[in-house]
Amino acid sequence: MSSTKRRNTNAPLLVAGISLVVFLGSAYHFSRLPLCANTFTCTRPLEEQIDNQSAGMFLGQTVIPPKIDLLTESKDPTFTVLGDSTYEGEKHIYVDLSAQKLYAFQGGTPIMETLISSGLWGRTPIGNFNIQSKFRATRMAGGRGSDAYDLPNVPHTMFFYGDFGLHGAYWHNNFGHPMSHGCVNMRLIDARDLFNWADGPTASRSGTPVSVCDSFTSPDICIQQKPIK
Amino acid sequence: MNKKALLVLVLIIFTLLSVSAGFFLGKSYPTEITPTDSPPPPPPPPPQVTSQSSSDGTRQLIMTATLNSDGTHTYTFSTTDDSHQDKQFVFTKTLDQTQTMAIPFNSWSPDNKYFFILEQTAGKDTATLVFPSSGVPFSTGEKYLDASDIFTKKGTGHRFDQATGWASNSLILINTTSDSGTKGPSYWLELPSLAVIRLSTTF
Repeated sequence: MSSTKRRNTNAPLLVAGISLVVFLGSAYHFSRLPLCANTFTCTRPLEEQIDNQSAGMFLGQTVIPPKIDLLTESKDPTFTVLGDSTYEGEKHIYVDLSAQKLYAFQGGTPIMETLISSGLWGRTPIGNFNIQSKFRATRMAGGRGSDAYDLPNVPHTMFFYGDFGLHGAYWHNNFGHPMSHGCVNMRLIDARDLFNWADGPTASRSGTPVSVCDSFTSPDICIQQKPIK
Repeated sequence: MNKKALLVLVLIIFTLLSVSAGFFLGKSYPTEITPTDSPPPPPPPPPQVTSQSSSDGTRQLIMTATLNSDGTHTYTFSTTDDSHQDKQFVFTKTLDQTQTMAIPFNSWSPDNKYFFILEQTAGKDTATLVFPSSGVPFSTGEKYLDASDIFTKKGTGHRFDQATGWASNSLILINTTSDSGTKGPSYWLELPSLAVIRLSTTF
């Protein structure tokens, strides 16, 4: 009887100890991973995925992704790059979260100014980054319940911090208002033009800088209250 | 010369003098140069043309604003494809000087099947007119719907403030204000059912 009593006394302490170890271990493990907005597709490394068969889902609505034909695109005679070779100098992308705008500059010359949608259900990370990878399209999925989303063929994606990126959004047209899970959503034509203009990383050079600002004043005043980088 | 002939001569001379005096005195001569014709009115300003592309760039909504001689503006809307080959007239309306019309950035639905335009007074949206881009009327037979009017008639208890854009192919996002003037909840207006759905998220 007495031994039984002793076990009962120690059991809560044992459970608490195990829980603490598991909690601390998990916290350490997850703190080592980059933030992840796309909880179902956070693969490492992030990858290009072109899927012309699947339907998408956003806000409980079925959406049909745009078909992507790389062969046709490569022969498109109307293909142009923002600014083409007219402008020279360093490229820089600024995202103004308060105004929900994106600006692109090259050598101080404004190349693009357009409305975007940043994080509503998840925060867009504030800080100074570089484009880490560029994909013609990828799949993004995550969220829970009514906020769940699963979107194939997210076009012209440029990741700048973990799986937070700039990309086109074919499932809504509510730019100028937060509407994403942390990424920077753009109109399809804007995302395409920016994608064709911006540089990904090379062996000798970082990708185009991306500054996410609480507020921004042209040409280069970027206010960041709590930048994570 | 007898007296009678002299009298006739005097009368003739007098008559000639009177006629001459009347002619010259009755005619005014300008003392300074004054324009006799007002200058032609300046030509009316050229129509103002603005447009908004769909997200994918395949469709354009074009608004032409023409100033009329009475000070009103006539707004004409048309759509076209990216090659500008398929221009279709959509809608026209004449408004007085206190009102304007505009195409918002988020005019087109993501699938380009609908678009909306705004009627504004002092910068405030007073009507949000939604059109099917196909030109085929809604099932109610109407060529266009006023989203703000539909929302108001639903009696949600909140005032229509602004249609911000499209949450999906058929959902217009509506922001509202409460009676106290503070920001109210957001709603969806679903097409073509015209259902109004209150959201837990404010946009």
